[in-house]
Amino acid sequence: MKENLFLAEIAAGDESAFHSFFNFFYEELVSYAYKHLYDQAESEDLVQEAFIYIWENASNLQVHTNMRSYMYSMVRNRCINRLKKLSVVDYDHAIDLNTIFEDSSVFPVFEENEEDVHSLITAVINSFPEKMREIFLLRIKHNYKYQQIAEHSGVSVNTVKTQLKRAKEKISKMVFSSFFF
Amino acid sequence: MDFKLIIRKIEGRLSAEEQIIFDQWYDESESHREYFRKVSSGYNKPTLQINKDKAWLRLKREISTPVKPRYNWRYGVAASLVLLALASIAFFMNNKDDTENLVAEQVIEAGSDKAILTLADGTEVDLQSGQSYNAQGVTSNGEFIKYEGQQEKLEYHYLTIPRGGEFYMELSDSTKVWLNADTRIKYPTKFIAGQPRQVELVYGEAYFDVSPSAHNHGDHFIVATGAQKVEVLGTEFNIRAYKQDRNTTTTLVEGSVQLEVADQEISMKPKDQVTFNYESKGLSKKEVVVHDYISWKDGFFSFNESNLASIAENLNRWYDVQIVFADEEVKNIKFNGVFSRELGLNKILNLLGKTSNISYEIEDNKIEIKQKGE
Repeated sequence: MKENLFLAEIAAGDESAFHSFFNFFYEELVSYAYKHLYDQAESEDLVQEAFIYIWENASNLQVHTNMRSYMYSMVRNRCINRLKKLSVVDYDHAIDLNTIFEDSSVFPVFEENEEDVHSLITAVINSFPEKMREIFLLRIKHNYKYQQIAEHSGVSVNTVKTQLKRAKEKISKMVFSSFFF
Repeated sequence: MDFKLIIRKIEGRLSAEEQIIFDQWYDESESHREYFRKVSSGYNKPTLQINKDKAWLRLKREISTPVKPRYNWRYGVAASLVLLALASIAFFMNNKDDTENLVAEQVIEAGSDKAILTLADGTEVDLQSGQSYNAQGVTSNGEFIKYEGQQEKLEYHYLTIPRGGEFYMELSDSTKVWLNADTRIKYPTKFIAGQPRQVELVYGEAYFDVSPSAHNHGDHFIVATGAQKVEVLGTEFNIRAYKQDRNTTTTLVEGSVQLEVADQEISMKPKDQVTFNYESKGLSKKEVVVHDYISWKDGFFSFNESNLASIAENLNRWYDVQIVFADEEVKNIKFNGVFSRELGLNKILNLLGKTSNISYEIEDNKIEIKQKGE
């Protein structure tokens, strides 16, 4: 993973590497934090703190997967702590699921130990009809553009859009319905 | 309570049991209600406008290793500015040791972060480096003070910056305020949703980076001074209203503001500077090089065709001294240059002396400036 390379450079105090790393993730992480906090200023502050943490601790970080999932985890945990103070919990990962399936500019990834999220996502996706599932995975997992998905699956771009829209509706129904109870 | 219930509430799909759970949570605290309002207005809305360059500057300021930690909270200063400062200083130095006065002269150090916080009951708290203060929803590490908006009741606090000091604060709505030496501001410990967010610059100079109304239930932000009101929706501007000045000067950096003064209203766009003169009650608007008027908050003096009289006023406040002139002529000598506010006063006066025909004498905190050879 390209973004893991940054870590060594950041640890060495290379500010321009850190700047690239920041540009790489900042916006999507802020959008992700916003899905929890619904307050842009607070989200920006929180993500800022996460980056400062990386800058100050780069030399002794244990990143098992990759920097992307590490950053997401860090932001998620900080958001969850904020919500705790408001007595709000999200045991079913509704926020994550909704984010994955709703906002194409944000791609939360999860550490391997967050199995429950993985199995939830799998459960949701497995309930899709086959074609929808294929299109959806190309979009989510591989971050393909509509055109690429269309070429890959042999359907029109319009079909791709329609399928993704339906998938999204389906998910949002599931995520916020009694599906998980 | 589960986040899902908030979404179901918004979509009107709560079951009777869930409604009870939700209501209980909702009634529990104002912070819960505020969160619910934020989710309601932000849920399923189009993506955010995020300015990552601005965010990077802010981050850079946090991570760069400044000369002294007191600049941690400042905006990263444009490199060009630093270069300019260095260049101008280097240019003046001529690699010569600038100890022309053989007599050991008194050294006057730069100002520092300090302020006095006055609580609602009149209690005064000294804030300065190495002294932290923590109360409900308020924290200060001696270099800045931050309000979290978790106060139970709305009270008014004052922050007073003495001469030779400066300070930085964040209000409970996340509005950022830089406060220059010899400044006093009055503000509420929290803001009430649905009412304008009003603060009062009692006197002095302050730079505001206002948290947008969109993040604050649409509530406008108002800065009142004795003479005028500035109403904003989320923007950056500087107000200077020193006791000795016979006017209030408002300089807009970003966004737009509506200025109300003496029954007149005037709109400003970025780079506009509006001056209100107390005596003539006249308003004038001109376009300025914004940087000259706000560089103080980034730790610089920026003199652009400034005469020595106005330079001296700035130096007086920051070094807590009193500069007097041997004759009227000296007052009108003009200077250009950018200096770090970290420099000692002697250094700055020496640099000014190198480019002109002035010399100075220090006695305690009184400084006399005269033409050389007088």
